[in-house]
Amino acid sequence: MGGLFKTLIKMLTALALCLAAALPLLAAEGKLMTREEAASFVEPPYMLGESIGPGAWELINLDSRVAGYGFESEPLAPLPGFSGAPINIFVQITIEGRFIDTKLVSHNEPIFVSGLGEAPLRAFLSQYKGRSITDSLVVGVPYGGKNDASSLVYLDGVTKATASVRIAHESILGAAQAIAREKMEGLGARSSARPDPAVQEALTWDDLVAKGIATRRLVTNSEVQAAFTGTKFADDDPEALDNPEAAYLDLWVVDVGPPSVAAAVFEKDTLAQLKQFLSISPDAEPVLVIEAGRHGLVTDEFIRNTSPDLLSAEQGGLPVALRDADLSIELKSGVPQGVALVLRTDRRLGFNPAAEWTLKVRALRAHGSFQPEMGQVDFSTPVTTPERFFIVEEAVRADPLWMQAISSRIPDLAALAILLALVFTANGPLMSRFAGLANYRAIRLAILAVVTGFVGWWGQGQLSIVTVLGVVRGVAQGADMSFLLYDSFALLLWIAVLVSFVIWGRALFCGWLCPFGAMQEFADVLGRWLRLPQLSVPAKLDAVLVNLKYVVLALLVATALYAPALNDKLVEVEPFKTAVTTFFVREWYYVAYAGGLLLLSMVLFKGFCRYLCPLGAVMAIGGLLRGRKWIARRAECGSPCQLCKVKCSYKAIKPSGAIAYNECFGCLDCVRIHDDVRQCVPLVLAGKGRALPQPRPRATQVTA
Amino acid sequence: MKVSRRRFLAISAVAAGAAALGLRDRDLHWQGVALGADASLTLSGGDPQKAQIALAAALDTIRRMERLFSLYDPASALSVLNRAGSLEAEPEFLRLMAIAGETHRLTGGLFDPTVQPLFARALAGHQPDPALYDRIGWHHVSINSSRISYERPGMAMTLNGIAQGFATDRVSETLAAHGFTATLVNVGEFKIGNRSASIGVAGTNGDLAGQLTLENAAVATSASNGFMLPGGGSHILHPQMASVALGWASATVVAPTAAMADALSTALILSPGEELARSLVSGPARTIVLQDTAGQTVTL
Repeated sequence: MGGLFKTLIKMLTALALCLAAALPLLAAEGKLMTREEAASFVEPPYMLGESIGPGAWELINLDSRVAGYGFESEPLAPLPGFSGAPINIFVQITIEGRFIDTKLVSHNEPIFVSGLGEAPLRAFLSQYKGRSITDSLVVGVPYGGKNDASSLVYLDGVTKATASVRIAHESILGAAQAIAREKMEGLGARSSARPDPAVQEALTWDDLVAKGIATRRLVTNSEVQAAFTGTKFADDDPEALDNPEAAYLDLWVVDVGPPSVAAAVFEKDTLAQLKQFLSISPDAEPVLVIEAGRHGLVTDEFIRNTSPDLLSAEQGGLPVALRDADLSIELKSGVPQGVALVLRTDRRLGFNPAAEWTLKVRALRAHGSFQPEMGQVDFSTPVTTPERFFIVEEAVRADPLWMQAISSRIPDLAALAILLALVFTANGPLMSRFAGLANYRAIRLAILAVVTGFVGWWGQGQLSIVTVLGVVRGVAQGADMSFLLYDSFALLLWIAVLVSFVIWGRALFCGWLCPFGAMQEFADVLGRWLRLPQLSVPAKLDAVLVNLKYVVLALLVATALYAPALNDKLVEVEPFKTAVTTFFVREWYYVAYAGGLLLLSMVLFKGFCRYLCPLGAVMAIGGLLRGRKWIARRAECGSPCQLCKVKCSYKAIKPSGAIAYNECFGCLDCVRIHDDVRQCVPLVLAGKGRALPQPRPRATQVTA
Repeated sequence: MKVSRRRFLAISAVAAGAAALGLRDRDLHWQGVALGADASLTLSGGDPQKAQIALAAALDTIRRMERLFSLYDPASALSVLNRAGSLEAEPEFLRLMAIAGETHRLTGGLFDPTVQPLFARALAGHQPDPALYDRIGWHHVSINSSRISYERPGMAMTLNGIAQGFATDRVSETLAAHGFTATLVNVGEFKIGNRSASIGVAGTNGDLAGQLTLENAAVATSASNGFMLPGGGSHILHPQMASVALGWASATVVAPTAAMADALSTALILSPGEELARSLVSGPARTIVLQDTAGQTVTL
């Protein structure tokens, strides 16, 4: 108990030191890139234009117009990556919201720092080119099947780096949408709509006017005159001066896509023409414009079936292409008579007839008779057609990332849940029976094989100190920790481990769920089979070495907060990335290190786990939550019997017979002995009708 | 960085004005944001349907003004001019240029839209650069027919000292063209149509410095501390001198047009003494209310 207490004090001191070090919060926030740095990401024909915010610039095309925006993702969407630091990407989009390019600026993702290298991340980023930010982009996952029927656009993920590329993806979309909201009003939240043929209403022109389905825009002569006042065009329209109250432009705008609206304005022949036209161009939205003033809607140069020169439209701040539909128009009586045109726009280009849009009409004045100079003023009117006439398709929303993370791995998660249930039950209610099975040792190795193969190599569920450090950074620097959600497989394991802390302390994870721990156990089995001599660490040295892992942990926490770059190298003390993530296919020195540790455990049982592993240190600290002493002891344990202590490969049983739970890996060897009438010395003796002698002052070693 | 409000001090009298008018049920009232400032329109009398059409026309005018004069919209005509150094300008842009030139003359050069390079530099938090004065000066702007060009490289204009006033006038004109003359228009500055309205003049400390009852007139206020630059200086910059003791803490001008009132009030901030104010009152301005930093008010 005293030992445990001392260890607890030690751990708390280490933890306090780490946290105290974290307090000044020298948050290693990325510096904004300079203009020159940003310019190096931009390729012709684009050039960097004016700055539009921190780390964001306009992109200027050859015609010196703003063609798009280039920006760093970090200031706009500072999502912490797996390492805790954001992945910074330079994103370039056109003003229409298409990706020109996405280029990696900086990142600290352990898996891409070494291991896989940056190439897969760069390859991932290259998939954005040409996509639109309005596409429902989803990072496809190699585990799940793709649904070809869905309208989601899948990007290929990177195996073993799912969380990192998801975070990169979120950063890109977050930043692009922030820019779109700022610069391209309405983009990114667009849903499309088409006329609903099922909506049939008996409507007259008066109904259209009364219900606001037909929009009127009146520009009086005096209004247009005022727009040209003070310029040389002021006197170029005598009629405007003579008749100030009269209409210059008396415009009616009606979306005739909905059949009942069309029926309210057109005579039969025109309706038939319209129907014919819409059957050829099913994605066209026809708009009727009638001008009852003297503007005339088009100039003399206007050619049918082309874009009208004086009319233009925009929606959500973006231009909407208009073209004459070339229909001969006969209006019903009661409809204002005048110059009438049916214009067509294409819903596939993003026009949403159910949302407000703006029609602009240009007023022209000419000054001089020979090669006259032209003056122009645009008058505009907002147009809204009631939504009930349309089938509105809500933009397909991709599930939240955490849900995608779950749904894409349901089979894996189910298998893992079964495995966890098995391990929990075997080590919980059924522990004594489990440990007492004749082939217990074989079953244990089988489970460890599953842990290595399924949890480790297949599922990539090797828990890692990197996650812990990410959380520490998140807590210390107040960052978002949603990255935890992106790897559902590891998350389930973490949850199980947190629960296991209360029941078993560190034992369940370190002894049963750690793939690299399992590999070391196999190395040990191999070593013993080869009859290699085993290193024996003197008890005093062992007592020192078991605390080394806390030093390693403290070092990692400190560097995670103050020296992230150094931290990236130091986390390699954990060979998991080499052994599990990359299947030992990595730079030779990493392989040598991980392989060396395995070789070492052939002669020194789980040396890495017991002395070095920072994750083990975390588990031991978490194990302080343990709410019970789950390994049964007898009065004879420790005094005088030392059998279990000697048998314990982890040296987790004290001479007193008490279990040092912070070093216990839950191998159940002592549980097995405790219940075995042929092994447990007190039971053996009791079977022979004898009792152990009274405790002696000093324990002597009892060999099996 | 977006300078959403040119003025911290507003002539805060929309409510007061409306109350003085006795806002009737038939009045059409609109409130929103125009050219980065709070805006409101009040139309009295007339057919409600016509009032709606007039309001649509007024809002269109506001949107058009933003497309022409906004410094923060990279696609605005002004931004294009500042980037390219020249512009084939639309009539309304030319009209504003004419008023700007007139005000420049009336104020002895104190009102000068070409201070934008100084402003941009100050906004970025840098010290004034004497070399910039080479590219400042209204006389370097040439207006040839409908073509505006800068004669020196690196020139740029800000119309923030006049565009709100001009927009206020244009909206008022649009409403009048639709038959609504009894209007109260606030598009950054105030324009009162064929009705009387009581307008309060806010003092530098947020108190009421005075009260003006107006009809068929426009009123504009500029305040030296309306928007402070990163270095702590006033946003109203002198076109000739880098560091200058500001003349007045706030200046309120009543004039026939809001554009003129707006531009004159901007210039008066830079003019110590009452000399300029007196010459203006005998000319284009009807009433001028000046307040110094101590809160002393002079009404001319």
